[in-house]
Amino acid sequence: MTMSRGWRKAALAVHLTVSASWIGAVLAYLVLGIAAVTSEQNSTIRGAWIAMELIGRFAIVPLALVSLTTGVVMAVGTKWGLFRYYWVLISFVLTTFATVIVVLHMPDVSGIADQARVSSRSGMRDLGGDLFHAGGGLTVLVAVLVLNVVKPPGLTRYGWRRQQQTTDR
Amino acid sequence: MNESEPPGLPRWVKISGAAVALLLLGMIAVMVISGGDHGPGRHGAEGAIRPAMTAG
Repeated sequence: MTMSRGWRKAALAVHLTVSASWIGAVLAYLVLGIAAVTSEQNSTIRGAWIAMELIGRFAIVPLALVSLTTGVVMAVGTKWGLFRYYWVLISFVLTTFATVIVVLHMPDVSGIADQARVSSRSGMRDLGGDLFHAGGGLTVLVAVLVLNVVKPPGLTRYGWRRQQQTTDR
Repeated sequence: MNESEPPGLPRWVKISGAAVALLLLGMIAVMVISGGDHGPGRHGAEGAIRPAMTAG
């Protein structure tokens, strides 16, 4: 099932836009996290966590879900396939992993943002900045981006079998 | 390369896989040594949020 040239271009445009936006949203989340950790002002820490929750809920989670979906559509609808090449398969696994973590982690972020709304001065310093998730997520997304740009060679066993079947016909 | 046999893992997959495995082992070691509470079980759990003092 291969997409027509027009559909392929449209799907690619959506996928690139959404995936780049996801990286941008995580970068913004990381900057706010650093502000929350380094700031001495309660209002800055409180504002950073409220903004982090908003970015997470209304940008990172939807962008992750749409990026994963359009990525699968792009793979299935083109010659690359989802399981034929290692770079596609690894990109898919990493994107799925990042999306699952993002969705499962959001209740924690909301909880900390709720605490930031009511915390006293001493409690505010304990909230941290969620730098582990933001930094790790950014690393994974950049790795996927590099894989998608470089497209390193390597057929999987499944891809090799499919190629043999096509050649035999 | 014999085309009647399926290909093995590409070199770049082996190298990056080994690098990621080392990184993960290092992170696990740091978490164990520092007594950190982070892990997959933490996500979505009610007790995940650190206690903080609340005003009024």
